[in-house]
Amino acid sequence: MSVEVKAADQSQAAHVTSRARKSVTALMFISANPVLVAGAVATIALLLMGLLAPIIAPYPPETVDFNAISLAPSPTHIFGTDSYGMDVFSRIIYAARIDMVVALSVVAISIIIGTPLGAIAGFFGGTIIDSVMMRFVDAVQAFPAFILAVMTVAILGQRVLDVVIVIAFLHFPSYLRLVRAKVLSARKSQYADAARCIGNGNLRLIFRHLLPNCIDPIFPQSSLNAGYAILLTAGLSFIGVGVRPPTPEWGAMINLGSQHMLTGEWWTSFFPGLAMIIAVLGFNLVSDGLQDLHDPTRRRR
Amino acid sequence: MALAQYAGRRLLSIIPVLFLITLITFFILRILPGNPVLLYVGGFADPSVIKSVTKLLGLDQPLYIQYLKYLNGLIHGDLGTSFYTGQPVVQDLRQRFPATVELTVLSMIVAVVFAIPLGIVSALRRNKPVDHGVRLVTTLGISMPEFWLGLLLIQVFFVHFHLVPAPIGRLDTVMSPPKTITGLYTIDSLLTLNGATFFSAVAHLILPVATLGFIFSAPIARQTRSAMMDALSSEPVRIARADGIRESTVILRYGLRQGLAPIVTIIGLVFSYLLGGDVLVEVVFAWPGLGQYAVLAIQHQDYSAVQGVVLLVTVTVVLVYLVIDVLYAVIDPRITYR
Repeated sequence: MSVEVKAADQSQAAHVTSRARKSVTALMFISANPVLVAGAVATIALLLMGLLAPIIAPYPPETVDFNAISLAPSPTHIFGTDSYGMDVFSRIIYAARIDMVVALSVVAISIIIGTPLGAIAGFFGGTIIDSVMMRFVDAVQAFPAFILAVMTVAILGQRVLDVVIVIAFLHFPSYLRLVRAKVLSARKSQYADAARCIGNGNLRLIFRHLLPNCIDPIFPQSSLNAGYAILLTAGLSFIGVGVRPPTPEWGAMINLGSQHMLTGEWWTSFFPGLAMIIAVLGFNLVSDGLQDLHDPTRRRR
Repeated sequence: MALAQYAGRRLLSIIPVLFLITLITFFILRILPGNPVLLYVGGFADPSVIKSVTKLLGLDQPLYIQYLKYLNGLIHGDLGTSFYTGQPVVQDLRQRFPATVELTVLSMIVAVVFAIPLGIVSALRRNKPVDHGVRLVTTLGISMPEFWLGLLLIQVFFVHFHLVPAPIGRLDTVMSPPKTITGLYTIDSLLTLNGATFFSAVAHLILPVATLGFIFSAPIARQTRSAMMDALSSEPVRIARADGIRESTVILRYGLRQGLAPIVTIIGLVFSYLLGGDVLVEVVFAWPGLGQYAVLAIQHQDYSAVQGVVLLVTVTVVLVYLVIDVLYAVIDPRITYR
């Protein structure tokens, strides 16, 4: 189907200006990948929200106002205020800074650690280097993840950076495994042999020739990962071991709200949860969309 | 026979992983900042008291001796004594493990019962409104924080409509637990013919099970959908249809049978995640299970208790994986184990 559309587009494109052609191409991309585009829009919107927080937020995020404690949503405080009189809407917006930055840094760090290690493990597949790495990764993944996260955050501390390091540590094994599996088969390919024949050393072979051909499975994984990272960060903060109040963070806000929920104060935990769902949903949709893009048979079925 | 041998070898091969786990847990706990003795005797205790308690707990000895002593106890089935509850860790776990098992097993049953039919229908009606609906709900399910959903359900069904009892623990506070047979309150109260306790236990289970059941039906339904789509476009299914075999037989006997392996895999993954990962829901519903015990133990630097929980969860998870691998052979006769 998409081939016909492309052919039609090409015959049209000869007649229209290149600018119009670009917008046609963009529209085609959107209609062919609605999931990816919807996810990307949500993700970019939340990133912009965090970036422009001082402009968008009507109140400062950490200012306690004893004259405005636990107010229900109203035109002055559209999402209400919490038990310290802080504006829930403004805090949700500022929290995007923390949660989105945590998500993206976790992904970056786990890729930086997991990808090269995976390439090395795959290249030396079956040797002692490979089995030592794999047994270590097995142990990390067999560990109850949330309990390990609570333990390690307790050691490192509760700064945002500590939470990032812990979550990245929990997630790097998935990249290691993905890249290892790919390199394991690619090392026997012709281009690998060819590269070796012209005199490349092991390191150069791994990082210049094999790795660039073996990283495509990490993209859908990384987006999925970003979503998990937000859920995990919020979960840690929810039980009081992650990011601490008054720092605006979605999980910590839900926790604060939950303490006053039985008195009917639903808004302080309801709205931060919605923001979180949009963020995680955005990343999950991007991941689904990237997989479809990578494997078009998945989409058309 | 080959299967039994395979299972035996797998059981042996988990020993090094378990050993590594005890090692990691033991040393991570010892790097935790702070002194558990101070939590035990209070911050203002006399230095001589602190010293003697440290000695009593064996914390004055070098780390490797402490670790060897722990391993020695482990071999004899002794997980040590909890600093915080003062009870042997084995006894603590025996009380809390059934609470977690009751919650997670019921949630898994609920999740599977809803997810598999939804996944199948979604695959059959691909790109129809039903399919879009299922995909929307399941994508929401994997994106939603379970503790938030739990709080929302409490808000609606307890605070607003008073349809369920207060979300605190496994029974009404005035009620004493049924005589311990299995430790699962629903089953024990049925066995002892205690109707009131049974209904109280069920009422307390509704919301947490609904929360976990919804969240974890999402990945199972997604996996079922994609496995069924593969299976339905496969050769055997096409031939079965061409032969005029009844559609329901085609779907269940030819389609689902083929797609079952990846579905069982995701069920096992979700279940093993739940065993150590239902902490947040346990916190929301004040459920006295393993997860909550673990978090309290970490906060109190209760070394033996944390080690005990981690070991118990890991052993259970590894056993679940083993069962899955054995199930593969049952599901798919083409798989042989060497």
